[in-house]
Amino acid sequence: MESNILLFCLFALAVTLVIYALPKRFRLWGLLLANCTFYLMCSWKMSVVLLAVILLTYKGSLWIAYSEGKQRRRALALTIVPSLLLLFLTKYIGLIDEFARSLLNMIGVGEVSSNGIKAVSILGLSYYVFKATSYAIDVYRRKYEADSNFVNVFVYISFFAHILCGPISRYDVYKENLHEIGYRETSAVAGIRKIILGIFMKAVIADRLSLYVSNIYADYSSAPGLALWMAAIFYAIQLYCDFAGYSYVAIGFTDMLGLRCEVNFNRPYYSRTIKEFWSRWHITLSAWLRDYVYISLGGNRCSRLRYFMNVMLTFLVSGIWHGAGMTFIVWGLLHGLFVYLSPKALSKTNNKLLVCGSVLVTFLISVFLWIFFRSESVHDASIFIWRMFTDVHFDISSLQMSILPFDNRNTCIAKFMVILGFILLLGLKEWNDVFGTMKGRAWMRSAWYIFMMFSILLFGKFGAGFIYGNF
Amino acid sequence: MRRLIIEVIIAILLASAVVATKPILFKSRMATGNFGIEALVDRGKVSHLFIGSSMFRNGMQADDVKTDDMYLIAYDGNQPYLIYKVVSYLLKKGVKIDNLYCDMYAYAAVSKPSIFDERIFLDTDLPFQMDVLDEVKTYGKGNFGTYYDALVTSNIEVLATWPISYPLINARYDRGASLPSNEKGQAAEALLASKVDAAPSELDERQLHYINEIVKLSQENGINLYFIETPKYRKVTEETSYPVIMDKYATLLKGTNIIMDENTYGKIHPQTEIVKYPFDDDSAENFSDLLHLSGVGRGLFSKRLHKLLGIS
Repeated sequence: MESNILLFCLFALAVTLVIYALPKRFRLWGLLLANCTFYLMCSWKMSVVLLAVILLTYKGSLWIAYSEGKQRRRALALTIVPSLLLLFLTKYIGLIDEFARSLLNMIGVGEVSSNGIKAVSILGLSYYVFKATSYAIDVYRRKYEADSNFVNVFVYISFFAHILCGPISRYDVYKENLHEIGYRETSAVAGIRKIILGIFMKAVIADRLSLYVSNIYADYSSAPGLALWMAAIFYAIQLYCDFAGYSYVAIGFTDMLGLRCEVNFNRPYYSRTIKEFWSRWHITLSAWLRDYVYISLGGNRCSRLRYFMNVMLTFLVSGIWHGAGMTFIVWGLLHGLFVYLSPKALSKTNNKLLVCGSVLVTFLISVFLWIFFRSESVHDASIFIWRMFTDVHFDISSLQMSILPFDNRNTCIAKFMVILGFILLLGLKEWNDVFGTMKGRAWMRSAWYIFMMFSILLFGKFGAGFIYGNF
Repeated sequence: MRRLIIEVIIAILLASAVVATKPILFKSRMATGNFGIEALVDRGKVSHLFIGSSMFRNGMQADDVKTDDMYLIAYDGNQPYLIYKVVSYLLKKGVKIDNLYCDMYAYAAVSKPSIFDERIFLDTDLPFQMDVLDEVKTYGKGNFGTYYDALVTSNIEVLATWPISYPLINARYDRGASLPSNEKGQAAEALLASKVDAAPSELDERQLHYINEIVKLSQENGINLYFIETPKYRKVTEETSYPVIMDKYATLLKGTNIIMDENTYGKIHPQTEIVKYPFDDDSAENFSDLLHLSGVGRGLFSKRLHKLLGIS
């Protein structure tokens, strides 16, 4: 269920209908039961970790609320550090082990054999630890009171729709409608529309691109340069449609249940600068990093050098959060650098040519940086990029070899054309949403949703996991 | 909510209309093509019918066959059960076959019935499709998704892009076989680094049943039957299970015409008469991967085989 959007939707739909049918006073309990069922079904062995984080956060936040001064700070540290440490260790234990062994070998201790330590994967840990941490810090900062109702905190941290890949929603937003759980036509319709868009992005676009991208990245050294360009661009689109698609589905079910949640994506590839990109991509993570890392470090109200360091450190944390390995760290630092270098003037200009140019340049920068994100090593990523510029030939054979990996059969041309068509349509739709060139009418909106549902039924590919579920 | 419900209903109706008309659209348009089942049904008769997997498609070209009366039908991962069903289908549709050449691939005979290549649903009718799907569901790993993929989503991309993609695909075939090419294979290092998928050495019961059924069907319809092994890179035949399966396969086909690579023949202890052909299985240039011939290998093998069969 954690790796199949269709099964996830069926589960979420069943939960939603049961919640609608329950009397109002039992709905929160119904949601609690659904969260427990979901996690036990997906990863029962690791449910003890989830329970421990929830208990620690609940108790710790109450302790924070009733403490002052140094005691308050100590309470905060004892509440958030164990969870964050657990998150860090589960991701980096393998890498730390490897690094320590290399170091010992280097200083001449001799060949130290591997302990076989590997990174542990705990379903949703990155997401629920960040939610729990934000709750504890907000209580510490007196943004809101600690909730004495354990069920409220439990449901917030373990909410099944958000536990796999976010969004990393905030407690105050979640609590707004907590006692209004149930059917409301407007939010139910809005929710269903988001779910349709999400499934379309995931099943019709992302999962159609995954085979091509995997084929090229697996054997990038023998693929023609043109194929590398295609794979790099398609990976950027696949990642967006995969993650944003899941986010739309998750937010859609949140809406259907009558709860509230922040937007997680806002057409990021139409950003004019990388700084703007991060205000449109994985918005809840960016906001988390801004509020709890960047601002804690001093934000931009400091010297130019300190500001630079704060940006770089924040994106270093972002890289580390995404995964263990130098590729993620390099990816994070490069993003930090581009955020720091983002020209402010571009976000205010109305010059159409400048807007189009900056959108294109920002898109290309993100495409190149995703190569580090997707590659096995920094060396692989560097060679991948090098070959993109040194090995491009525009001849029939190169074109054939670049399209063939779509299904390794002679039908590859049809698959290539279909996916290109869907990407163009989604791109045009988003262009219109951002720049408003064509005013949306009710029938046009209906036609778009009919088209998406029709495409899901006939062109949908189901069964692939969520890329961001790995983080 | 009412508007949304209407949108859902319209989308389902539109998709249903496409699914219902899909087989009709494909079948009628493919009758004049250079490949596929419907084009052969349209011909009505064939003297030399080759039917097999991608190893047949990659391994054969038709340029040196003088007669126009040869045809090749190939689907990736084609297994004996599917070969039987396609031949039965052709006979039911009134196609007259004189000589039938079936792909003799060891690993296809040990696998449970499955569908690797959805192009089989391009130009066949619904009863055939349901028969194949039922077989896979009953004896293979089929489920609801298999039916949905086959009947709803299969080949939808070709249909959606027909005016452009079909002429391009069609131009790659001559009588169902691949066009000649000078494309050389992989480097020897790459081939040696590739892994051969592990496989059991026992023939699958259903495949075994259908191998016997193919023999029976040929006898009943007066068709000369041949089983042909295409060349494999030497690494494959050196796998322990490969010669063991081929030995059992050949024994099962006792009394039937078998044409085999000399290299494989040397590794088995046949209980039956086998015609051998020489082929350089060590030359990486001849192979695009461990199992499939390159353009160069195809040219060499086709000429040799057609000469052996007396059709060139």
